Amino acid sequence: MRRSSPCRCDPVTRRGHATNRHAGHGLRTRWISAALVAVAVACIVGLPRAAAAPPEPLSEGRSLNGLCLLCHSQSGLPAPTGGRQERPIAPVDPAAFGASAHGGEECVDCHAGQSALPHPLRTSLAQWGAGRATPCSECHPEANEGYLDSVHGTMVKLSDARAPACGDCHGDAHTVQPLQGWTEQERAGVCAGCHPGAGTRFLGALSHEEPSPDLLPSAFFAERFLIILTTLTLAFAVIHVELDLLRWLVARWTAHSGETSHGPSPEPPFASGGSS
Amino acid sequence: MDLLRNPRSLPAAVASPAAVPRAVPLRRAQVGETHVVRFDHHQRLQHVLMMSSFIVLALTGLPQKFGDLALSQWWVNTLGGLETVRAIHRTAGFVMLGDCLYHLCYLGYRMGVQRQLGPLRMVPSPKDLRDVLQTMIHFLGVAPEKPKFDRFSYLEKFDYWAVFWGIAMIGGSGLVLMFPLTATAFLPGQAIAAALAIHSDEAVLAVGWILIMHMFNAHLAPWIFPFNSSIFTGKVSARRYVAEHPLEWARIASTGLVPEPLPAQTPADEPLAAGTAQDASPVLRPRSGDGELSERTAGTSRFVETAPNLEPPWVGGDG
Repeated sequence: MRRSSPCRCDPVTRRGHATNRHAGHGLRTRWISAALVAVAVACIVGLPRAAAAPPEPLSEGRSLNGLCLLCHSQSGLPAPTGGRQERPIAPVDPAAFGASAHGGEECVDCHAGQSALPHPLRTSLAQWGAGRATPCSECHPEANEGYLDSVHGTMVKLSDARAPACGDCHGDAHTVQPLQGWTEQERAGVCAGCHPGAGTRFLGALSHEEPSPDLLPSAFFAERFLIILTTLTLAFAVIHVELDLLRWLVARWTAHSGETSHGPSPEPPFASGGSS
Repeated sequence: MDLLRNPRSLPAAVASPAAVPRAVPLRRAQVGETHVVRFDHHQRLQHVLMMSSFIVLALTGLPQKFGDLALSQWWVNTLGGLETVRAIHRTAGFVMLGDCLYHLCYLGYRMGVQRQLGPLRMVPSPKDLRDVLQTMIHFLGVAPEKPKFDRFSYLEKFDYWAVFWGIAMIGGSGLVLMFPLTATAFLPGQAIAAALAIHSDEAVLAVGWILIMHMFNAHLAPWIFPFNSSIFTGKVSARRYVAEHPLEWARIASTGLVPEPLPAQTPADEPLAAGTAQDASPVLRPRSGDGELSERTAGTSRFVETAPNLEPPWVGGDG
């Protein structure tokens, strides 16, 4: 049984569609309505900018940033939070982003999964916490490891809410500049945000790289020295304890053998004299 | 001192290890025995402060070093979060530093005011190296006898100086970490990174040494288990003293005021009731600082105070 169609044209070839005047009138009406709605939405979200630079069709190898910035360059854009309230999304300045250290990166490289529309409900990257949860570690794994080994990283591991995230020191990822371009005063100013009074001398306190003879030599040599000292000391302790115990066992065994064959023999005296 | 130069002149119970009374586990009754007061009140209090602060520091510091472990995260959350844990850790650190200061003042008073140079016995000497070698040879069964120790064996000296070293390293680096801005006022910034490495790595060394060597010699050794209480009571049985510190016992015996170690008068496995030894009361008590002695007899126990760091040893009242 063939299913009835609201259109009287041939459901397979669509012949006769153009000649159906009633149907064509309805179709026009729907297009006009859709256009009006689109214009209304565009007025709200700023389609005029998009009209000036209409998005290119999506294709492999082409940047999607322009498409993302259609909406995310606008201020006041709300985002659902999963509850009844909405939060505003900070706008991204396309020019500043393009000039930043991340200007050559794709939005979806950091905001993975957000290429789908509507966007899946996700927590802001800024609220993911520092270190392991941020996508920064995807491209900066060594810096992330160095960070996690620092006193700041300890705060992250132990869920301290005061732990500084990457952006707290390096600034907004959409405008961040390479660290080499910062003056010492600028960097010290960042430290002073949490450590009031921090000067340029304070800058040497933290590095995202492993200590080496060239970088943080005092920490490097102190660590190596203590590794050697700890190994030797604890090895001596283990050997001493084991030999002490072994000697005691041998003495007991000897005494036991002596008792069975020649009567009681004295117990071994206190072994090391190190207990009182 | 003649006794030290010529061990053959020592009493037989001291000079000949074969004649040394058999070791008795500390849990056995010591009622009626002669005890040596090895540690005075100050030393006992210093050890209590050191022990308690060390335990707190370890329990609040290691979770910070090994923050990746789920156990650390659970423990920190249980204690109220990292901020609380750091507050406890720093408080315990100040207690330990205060204890160190207390000990230094104690030493200064002993040596500077009372002119007692006994603490110098803690200074390492070439004999300690020989003792280490002889002990190892003895452990391996080559030498029949272990070395004869004076007031402090090489392990006790190591324990003592390790604490000095540890407090200097961990305490100093801890202060740098606690006051980084002040530290960078006169130190380069990388001193903070070095302080973090020193603080955490040295802590592992300290905890490892305590868990392995100190726990074995104070608790887990079969001839000690479960507990050596001398650092808390200050008293060590004379029989044990003769076995562990024969050279110092020789000096004590040379005063002529020390009775021979008495055999235990109670069943060997009977636990010592709390306060029994104290109630037995001492019999010898110093009347003045010049070493003149007064004697008081009560009960059956005898306590001989070596006046822990005095040279020559004097005999006194109970601890």
